[in-house]
Amino acid sequence: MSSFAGGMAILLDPYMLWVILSGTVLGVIVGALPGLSGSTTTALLLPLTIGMGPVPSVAFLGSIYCAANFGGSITAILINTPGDPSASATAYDGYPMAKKGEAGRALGMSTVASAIGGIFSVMVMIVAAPLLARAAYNFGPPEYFALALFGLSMLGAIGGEGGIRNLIAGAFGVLLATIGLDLTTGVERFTFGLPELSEGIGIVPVLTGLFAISEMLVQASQLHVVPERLALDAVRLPSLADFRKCAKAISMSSVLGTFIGILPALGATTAALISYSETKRWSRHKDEFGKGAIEGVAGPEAANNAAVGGSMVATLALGIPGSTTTAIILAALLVQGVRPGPHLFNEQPTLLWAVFSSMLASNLIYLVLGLFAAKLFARITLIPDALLWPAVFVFAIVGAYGPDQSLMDVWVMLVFGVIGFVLRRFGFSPAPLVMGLVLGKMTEETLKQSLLIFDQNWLMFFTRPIVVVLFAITLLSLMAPLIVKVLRRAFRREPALDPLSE
Amino acid sequence: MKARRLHTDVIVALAVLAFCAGVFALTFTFDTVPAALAVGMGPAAFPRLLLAVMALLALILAVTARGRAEEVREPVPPMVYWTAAAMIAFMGLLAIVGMVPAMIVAIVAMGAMWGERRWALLVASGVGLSLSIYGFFTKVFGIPLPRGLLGEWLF
Repeated sequence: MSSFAGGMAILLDPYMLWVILSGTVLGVIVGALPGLSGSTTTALLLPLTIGMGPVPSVAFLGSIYCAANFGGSITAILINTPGDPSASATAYDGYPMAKKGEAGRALGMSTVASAIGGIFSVMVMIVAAPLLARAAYNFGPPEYFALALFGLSMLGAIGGEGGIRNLIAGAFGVLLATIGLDLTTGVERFTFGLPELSEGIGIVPVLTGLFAISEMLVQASQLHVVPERLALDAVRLPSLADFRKCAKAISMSSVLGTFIGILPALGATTAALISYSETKRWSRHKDEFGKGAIEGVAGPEAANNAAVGGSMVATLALGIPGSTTTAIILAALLVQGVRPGPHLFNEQPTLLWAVFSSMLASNLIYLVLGLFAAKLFARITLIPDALLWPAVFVFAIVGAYGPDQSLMDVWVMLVFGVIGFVLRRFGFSPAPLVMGLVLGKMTEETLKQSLLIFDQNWLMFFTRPIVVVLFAITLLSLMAPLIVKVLRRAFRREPALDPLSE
Repeated sequence: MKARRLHTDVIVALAVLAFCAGVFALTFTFDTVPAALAVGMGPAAFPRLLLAVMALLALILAVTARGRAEEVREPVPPMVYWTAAAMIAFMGLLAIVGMVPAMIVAIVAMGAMWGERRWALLVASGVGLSLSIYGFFTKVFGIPLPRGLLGEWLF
């Protein structure tokens, strides 16, 4: 109870309130800017949080994460370009609504649905994360190895036919984590004689390069694209009739989003796309979808924000990131010397309650901001790319340089920027690579520890029931695309929207 | 007779296989572990296991490529190369004049390269942002930014 009070007390601390408020405002702004997603911004600003300490750091990044998903809906509705990938489903009906002169109504519903989904998932997080942590408290290295493998295997379940690419990128990320000294033997691996690499490749420069620099290069290839901007009258609260119409979509999507968020690797974008599909499936007004259905805005917006809390459950309780942004938040905690997992609930309960309360506060703050300042945030999209991206570049430079004051890290960032650009061009997403990089050390360490426990007998893994269950789920998730294909062929039915093909 | 173009997935798979082969060769350059410490998996075992998984996945990608729709990719616009070149040039400039002047030049030059012609706005944002970053890093975080050869020589 004292840790609960301690965690909630951060909301009375003016410094923490400032941190949460600035994180939320920044989150809405970057969410609204096409190209600058929540994950890019958390990667970009991670170095700034190093001097903050664990609680403000995770509160700041968590607030950005919460608010960016909502911010993405502003541009999805007004210019048909989701500011954050998680808002891509919102554009399907949000933009047609704006074209009909109902931008305010769409944004109002997006704000309220986002806040409901977000608050619901934080409530679930408060209950589920400690329960999950308690269940995992007696996990040993074999269980953690199986869990890490399950997290990595989920990369294959997303992206439809790109699943194999995701798995390759994930394995590449794990391989990157092997750079540096081998902890059991002290042998240097892939360091090429560079002392800067003996402690491993810096996670901050890799993240900044993969997200910010590669995105800048992508933006450089799209300078000729001028989006059509629609006027926003005013944001107004949805009417009672709107609420009645959307209540089912919001409640169903909040539950669905939270559940999808808890599953490793999936995250807000998948949650929003699946929820859009399900909202349409269960709606009485299916014919309105794609032409400006308000349920088509409410469903995905509730889901993508619900996924935020959901993805924090596995991240905090097990140390397995639920999404790309939580992988970055996990990296931020690791940089702070905090290793998320079941033990954290006993050792630093105040930190966890601080995370819960800051995310709750962030949801309430953007509810107010969304309703009263969305018009202002919409103007942010008018910042010319020629001013925005060079500024992002210099932020990325100092961000990569700052933590270790090493120009080598800046070079690493630039190299990974180019690698990220090339990977994207050939259909790879940087997100699985980040998941692999974050889970890499844990995967190798737990495998080696397990084999020591088992006296190098691999078959002993199958004597642990939890490991067997996790291996079975891993196998199932790896086979998921194949199973979906076979089932689809068997039923010969086209889905309303295939969320896994995005 | 016109040669059949390889499917992008096959090209990607071949690139991954070549990468795996190269990195696999590198694992033979690791130092040997003294017999007393050689317990369990050696330092090369885990990377090799990963490379085998990557190679297997690349083979699956290549084998399943047939029948999969080929994605049409636009050629990379010259501006991407120019932007990448500007980033490298920034690193050269940084080594000579230091971080802050290099950041000002980067913001102005890249902004102009991307089509911004309001020079006063460009210079104001370049100077304002760079000095803010300098103040924030040196005064708040106590992190000195590189001064470059010129800075070291002058101060």
